[in-house]
Amino acid sequence: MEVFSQLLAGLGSALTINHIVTCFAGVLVGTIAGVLPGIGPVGAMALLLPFSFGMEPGSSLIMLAGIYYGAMYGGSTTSILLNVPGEAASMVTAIDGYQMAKKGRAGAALAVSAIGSFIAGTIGVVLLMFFAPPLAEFALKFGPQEYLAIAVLGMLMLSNLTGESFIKAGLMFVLGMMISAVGVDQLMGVNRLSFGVLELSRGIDLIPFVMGLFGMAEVFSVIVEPYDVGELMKVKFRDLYPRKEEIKRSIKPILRGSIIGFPIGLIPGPAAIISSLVSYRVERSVSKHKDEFGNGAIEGVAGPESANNAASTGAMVPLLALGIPFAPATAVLLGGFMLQGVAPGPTFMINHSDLFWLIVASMYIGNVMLLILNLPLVGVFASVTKIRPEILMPVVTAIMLVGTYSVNNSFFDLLLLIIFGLIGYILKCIHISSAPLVVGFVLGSVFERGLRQSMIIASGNILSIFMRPIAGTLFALSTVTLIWIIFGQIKKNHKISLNEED
Amino acid sequence: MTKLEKWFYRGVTVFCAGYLVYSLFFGLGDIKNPGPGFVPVFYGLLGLIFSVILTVNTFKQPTKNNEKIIDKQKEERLILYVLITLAFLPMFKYLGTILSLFILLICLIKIFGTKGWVKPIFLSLICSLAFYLIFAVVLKVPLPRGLITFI
Repeated sequence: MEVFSQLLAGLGSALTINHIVTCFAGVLVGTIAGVLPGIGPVGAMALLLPFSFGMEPGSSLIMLAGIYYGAMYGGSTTSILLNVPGEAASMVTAIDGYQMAKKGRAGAALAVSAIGSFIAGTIGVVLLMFFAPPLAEFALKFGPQEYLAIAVLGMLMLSNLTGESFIKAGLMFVLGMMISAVGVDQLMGVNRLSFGVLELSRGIDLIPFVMGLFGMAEVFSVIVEPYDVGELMKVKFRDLYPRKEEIKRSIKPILRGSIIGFPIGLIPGPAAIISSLVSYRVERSVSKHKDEFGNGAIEGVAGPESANNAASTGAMVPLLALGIPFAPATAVLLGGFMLQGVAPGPTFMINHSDLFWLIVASMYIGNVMLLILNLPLVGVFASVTKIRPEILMPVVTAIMLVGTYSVNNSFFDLLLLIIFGLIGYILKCIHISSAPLVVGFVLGSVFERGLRQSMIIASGNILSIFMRPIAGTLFALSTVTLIWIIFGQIKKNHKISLNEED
Repeated sequence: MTKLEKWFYRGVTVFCAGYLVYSLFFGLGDIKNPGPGFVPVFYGLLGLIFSVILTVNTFKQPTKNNEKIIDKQKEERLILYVLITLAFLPMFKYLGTILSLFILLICLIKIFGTKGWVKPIFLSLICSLAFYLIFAVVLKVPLPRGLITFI
């Protein structure tokens, strides 16, 4: 009952003009970012992070959260109408969504996608509401040993879930951690790895790092290979209504997608992509219309779109309750929190419970806004893709440069933005994901603090770190994960060698 | 495996080795009280192990020959884009926000191959003024004024 009274208080705060406007701005920008190929929620959030600097904490965080889940709605629009996923998590939607569009059922696909996203997003927020506070309370028992264990588990899981080889993802993760160590040491205040450069003494900021890897890298990529979105399918408002049979076939996939997506959001990795892939596989296996998959099955749109929305909400739980982001998007959200002088984590619910419930309430409101926006205005959003890259990319570059400067008034940050942009572009060229780099960068400080404080507390008795019940369980889980990874790799190598013999 | 990939892993190996050696200068401390260099050394070691494995792999895999990552014109366009963006830094400091953004936007739009001058000039002017308005006036961010000091 206390949950509901706090939610009502949050709603009361969220329904002020100021917060409604920032929520609307966030979801609108998020939808546009989701529609535009390449920019994505991470790039859009990093772009707008400097804008949020001048806002009060509630408005700033509402806007950033709005961009995050808004992008999930927007990504499906171009997947269905153009067969071009606006953001990575919507690539599964393109499989059947575009086929439905070719059969003249684009409107139904868009409607089911938007409704599914709304239902899943709402279910996700309800689960967030019930999961996050008890997890935060539980996390109050966490010490440095537990945070160390979470960082280790996060590294192992993330390295296994990106779809790349464990070694490649692990290397990216470690490189991110290495970059995080530059600057003044957290415990002893020693200036390290800065090469005597004053600007490096304060460490490398998250904003030029993320903006460079995701935003600038994308700009460089478009210079070399400008995207061509092709002919846009026209959808009239009256075509948006799905048939009775399509609605009936969508209900269970939407509910299943919500239940599948939310727990996947809790674990490290590209939760939205993984959840939509898992949901697609599940829907295909349980469907009575298996032959339609790949040729325009409504379940192939409803399930994955719901899953990726639920996952994006689930990913907020570790951020808000533990203060640990397991995905690049939530890492940028963490940056938003830090810019406002608010540290998410176990004490966040106690010290800033009004802010937590404001964010939760605004997510309900944001989901309603997105449903209202996405259905009638779907043609408008899709036409945003018609903005030529030769106009859009220079403007985006200028926003990134000025935005990066505005955070610390540092010209050095601009240099870092360009350098990380080039690194991100090279990673794109060789098909390595930048996501582990960002999560490693953020978890690096958690890992270092956890490890050094644990060793100081242990006073030479290292085994005592593993003797704590929660930390011990998490380390045991890490060991199981590592064994799973090693066996998986051995099996894969064995398969490859058998194929080569054949 | 492409040439770029091979050189990337080799470059990362050198970076990790250098990082590891540099980290040793900050003091490892001891097991009861790890020093500032302890964790960076750990990172450097782990990074070196991973990168060496991948680098060794580069010697086993054949290089994809006749592979051009990007064609000459696009390569030049990318290099020019990066150089203009780098040139923006001193421009931003000494010429100020509006002027430097105006020059940057015109150059970047033209690099993309946009024909004519009217549209790029008009767009660059509108955008540079808009950015200044949003950041300096609305968000009150102290941006460099440079030559335009009367605003």
